[in-house]
Amino acid sequence: MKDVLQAESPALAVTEDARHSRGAIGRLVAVREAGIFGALVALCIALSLASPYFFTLRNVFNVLQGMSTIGIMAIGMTIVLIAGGLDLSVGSVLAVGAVLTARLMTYVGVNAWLAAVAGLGAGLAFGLVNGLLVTRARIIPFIATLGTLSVGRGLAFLLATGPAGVASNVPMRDAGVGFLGAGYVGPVPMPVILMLTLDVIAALFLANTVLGRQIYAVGSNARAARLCGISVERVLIFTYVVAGGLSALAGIVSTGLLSTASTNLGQGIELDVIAAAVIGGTSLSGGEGSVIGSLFGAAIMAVVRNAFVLLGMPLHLQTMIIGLVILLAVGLDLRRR
Amino acid sequence: MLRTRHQLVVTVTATLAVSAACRDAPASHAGRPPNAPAFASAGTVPDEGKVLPVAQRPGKPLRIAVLGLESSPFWIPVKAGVQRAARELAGRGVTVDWIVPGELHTTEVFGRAIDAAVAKQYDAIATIAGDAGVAAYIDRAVRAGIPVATYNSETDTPNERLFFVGAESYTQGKAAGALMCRLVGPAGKVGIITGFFAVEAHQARVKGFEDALHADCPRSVVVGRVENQDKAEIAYQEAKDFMTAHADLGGMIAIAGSPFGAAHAVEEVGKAGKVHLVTFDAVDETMDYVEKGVIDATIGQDPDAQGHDPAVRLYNYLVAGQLPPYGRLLTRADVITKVNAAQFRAPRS
Amino acid sequence: MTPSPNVERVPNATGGPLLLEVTGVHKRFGGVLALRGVSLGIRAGEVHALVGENGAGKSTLINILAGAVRRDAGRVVFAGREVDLHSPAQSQAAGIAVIHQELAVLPTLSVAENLFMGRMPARAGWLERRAMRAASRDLLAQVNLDVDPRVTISDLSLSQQQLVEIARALSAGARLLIMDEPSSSLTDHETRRLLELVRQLRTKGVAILYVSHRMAEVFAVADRITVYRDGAYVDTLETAATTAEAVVGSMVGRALVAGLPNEHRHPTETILELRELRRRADARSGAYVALDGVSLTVRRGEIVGLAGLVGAGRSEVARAVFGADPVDSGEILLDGHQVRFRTPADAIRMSVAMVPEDRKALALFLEKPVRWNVTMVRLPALARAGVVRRARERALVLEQVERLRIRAPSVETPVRALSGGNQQKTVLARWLITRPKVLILDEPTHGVDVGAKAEIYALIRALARDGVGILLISSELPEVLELSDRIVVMRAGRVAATLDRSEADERLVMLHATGASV
Repeated sequence: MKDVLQAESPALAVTEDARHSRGAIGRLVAVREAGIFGALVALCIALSLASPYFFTLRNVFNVLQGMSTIGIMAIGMTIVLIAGGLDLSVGSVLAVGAVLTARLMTYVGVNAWLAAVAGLGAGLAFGLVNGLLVTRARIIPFIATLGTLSVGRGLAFLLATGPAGVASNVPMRDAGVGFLGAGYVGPVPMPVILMLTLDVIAALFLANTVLGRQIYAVGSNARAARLCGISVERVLIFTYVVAGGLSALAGIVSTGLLSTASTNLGQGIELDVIAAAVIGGTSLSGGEGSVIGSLFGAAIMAVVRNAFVLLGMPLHLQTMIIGLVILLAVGLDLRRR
Repeated sequence: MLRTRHQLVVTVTATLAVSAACRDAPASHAGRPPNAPAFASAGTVPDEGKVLPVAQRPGKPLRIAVLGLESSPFWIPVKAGVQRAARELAGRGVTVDWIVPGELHTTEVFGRAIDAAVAKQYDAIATIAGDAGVAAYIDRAVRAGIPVATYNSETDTPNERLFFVGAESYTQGKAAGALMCRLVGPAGKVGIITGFFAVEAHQARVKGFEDALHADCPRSVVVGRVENQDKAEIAYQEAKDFMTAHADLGGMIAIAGSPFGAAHAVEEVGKAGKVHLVTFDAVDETMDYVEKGVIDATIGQDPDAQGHDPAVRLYNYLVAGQLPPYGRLLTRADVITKVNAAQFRAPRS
Repeated sequence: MTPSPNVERVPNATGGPLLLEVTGVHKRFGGVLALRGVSLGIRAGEVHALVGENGAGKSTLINILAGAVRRDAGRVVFAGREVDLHSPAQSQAAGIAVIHQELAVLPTLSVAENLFMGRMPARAGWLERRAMRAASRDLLAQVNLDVDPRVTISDLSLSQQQLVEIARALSAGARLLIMDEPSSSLTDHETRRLLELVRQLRTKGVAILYVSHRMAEVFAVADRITVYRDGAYVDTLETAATTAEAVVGSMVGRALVAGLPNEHRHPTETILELRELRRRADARSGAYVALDGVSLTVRRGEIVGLAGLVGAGRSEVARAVFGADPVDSGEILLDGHQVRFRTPADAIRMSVAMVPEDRKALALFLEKPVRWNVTMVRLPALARAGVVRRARERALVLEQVERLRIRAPSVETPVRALSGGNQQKTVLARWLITRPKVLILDEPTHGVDVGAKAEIYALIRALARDGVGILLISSELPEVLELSDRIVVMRAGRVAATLDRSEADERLVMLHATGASV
């Protein structure tokens, strides 16, 4: 062996590059997110110039709090997308988690925290069903989760049906669980703390664990992943369970914020969540993406929506602008590659 | 193969022709009666919500279908009104069925439901008719001899319905606008949270609101118009944004569903009584904030009467040919405040 | 020893008007010269076989005649006129039809719609279904196929679908029908039916170019046989005046590669044994058997070459052993113990490794860094409590990069940016760090440059010296002959022969692979 190798070209061919000499945090914010972060900063500077109210502590926390539901859900959605899947049912899971928690608390009288755990469990179970439909029943993710989107919404209506027989908002007035949505730690709203914490945990998980890397592998090349001994089915199911759990959690948080679980909670939100991930650089064809990027994506959308009100934008701009942001972000991302 | 297909087509065509003829020929009530009130004539009647069934009894048992929704708490008092009518008519051998054909008020859902009610041979139908497309289905039912009343919301497209029971969005908006002017003063700043930019009724309320506001307070300013898609969490965020952007904001109006999100924001920021909030309808969540004084006023539309009156008036027409004085029976635009809140609380069961 | 391009030789020694005359056709794909001035002459109304090893240039010529690939140089004369063949439409209009190995039917449409796709009979935009159906019946009768034209084509067997394609070609006025490995997915009975049809079409004046490496079929139907080797024309023979052995001799041509003695290795202990593995490829139709009772052994430190033509079932053996495909019956023994791998993960746990064919589709995560690609299988062992230990990972990857001389700007470079050889070395590194007992290599040097190829050969030998049992699949006979201690030749899902290194040469392997010896 040695003879052949030595006959070949000289010394070791690998050269160092600067990227991997960084620490764990440095790796998290790799080049990929720098572009979208730059766009966010530019947008914020522009808005600060346009409105004196934008860059106030209060407004910044307002925006962060406003994006927390989408932000928390975008973590799960990003993980599903990285593995090459898609979850359209997140909005319905959000409502099921919220309404079930509120119902158990208010109508059934279960201990508030137990009720929240049950709501979370319902989200995880929903994710499991999605995962099984996609892997065992081999229904493509778009169709499988389109189905559970409707089933979930129906379930939310059923759970919210009050004594008068009409679907209603279910009140939830527990200070403890409500703190998750409405509480503050110092000046920082609790949902913001939750969102940022979960995002960092997810980013560390994806970057540093075996399972995290297997998620990327499955999305990048599922056939190769299988031949590498990865249980593709189990990885996919895991991602849907995570997305379901985070959606339910987001539901409980937003219920806490308003003290009420509405049946229309999160209706149509799946598209915003997907948009956040896509703006953040996650590929719909799998294998690429980061939860930090998705958070920036959600932030961009939240800042734009904030600007609707701050700048008093006319309605046609309000409806058009989010779409333009998506096209711009994805277009720039394609150019960059 | 080809032949069988031709035969099939012929058979189907024939069947359709026969059934159409059957439906057209013998119906005694076919078409809108000549003495029916003009489609667009409008007014408020004194017996709103209290109209009684006439003394006559029908020659045979009658069945009346009321088509509505259950997807939001607004419908709780409507349904209660229908059930009240059902109880009043039960003694006269009349069945009133409350039917929920779907989750949305679209033509697709309600058109199909009207067709189904005709097929089930109901003697009269009351339906919501917010979309223009529903008009064609109403006309088809009426031509088949089944009188139709509309309630809650109806399209401007003229059709053969007998009468409508409900609020007029523009008028409601005007009431809110006049009220807002009094709350915020002559040069107040006001933010508008509508339901959907694309929904006609919501935009009519906005227009009525702005017309009245500017007429009464010419120096007032509308600082922005946004939609909350009937969602509490969006209303919450938008209300916060309005208050951030305009420290001197005088008031906000929440036009459509889930206005309590905005109320929650006002309460949280501690501006109750400083930022005046006007909303519509009297669902429980809204009423909580009215009682707390966070929502200054909410504009009611007598949902109980909207559920109750159509069934009873249809009965009166069927057995006695009795017709109401207007095409549009406009329900009261009650101004509900902390003071009178108790009498507008939806009945708790 | 490669034959010189033989342009001046007219491959029509015994007269008769030529329908198709190909002369001096060249084609280059990147750095590879696929065709080097090949010729071909087909007479009107003859069945002409084109034979050659894998990579002889048959497919390239077919694609040129089909209009799918443009030639770089050379002349094609069809029916007396020089033709361009710049597009499939031109080729079809000229009267050339190709029945590809992978059929080109529209699976959700009916038989009749498939027959008339693109030229359905219509009046004022309305399909004339009845006329179409009647015409379909006539066309199907021409190929001896009795099915209802209204059935969906995917409900037919592969053999029937193939007949529909032939009928479609005939109805489009084909004068030359090119059939590329037409029997590869057919049963014996279906193959006989197909050959019968071929003879029948010849009597109707249709010329047929029958491309196959199955000698029995070639000798059963062909009037003449043209042999290509390494992209060059070798010879055209009258079937009646030659033998299968002579044809195979022309196909192989080169002198026997003198294999280096595999020094110091005397493998004895059996590490892998397959007993009567069977598997149907298509469970639904059940028509095509992928593995038909394969038995073989691999000993510790032994390199067993698995030879055979494309479609003989070599990769299917590899996938079955590795747990990538299920088997219907048979046993796999590892170290003398029966094992049943339901997934590749099971095989990996038992120290079996497989470098699959087609590395881009089946092995690499192209957008991901080299580091990542190397450690994907071994990752769980590099982690503590599920968290990858980066320093260890990097050290391991750098060690492999050095050992295998993987040339990349950095271990963080996406593997897409690497050359084919370095990509393949990355895949090899992935499996080397698992320290396999059995290593299956499926076309390990495909698309790899000469230098990397030598390195990979040295690596394979070194692994065998260390006691790894190696099953080597390769379409390059010299490679198999050079590396293997024993050679198992496969044909049609069966083991056709097992040859010792000392007795094997290319001719013998090809005789068994093509079935010319039986």
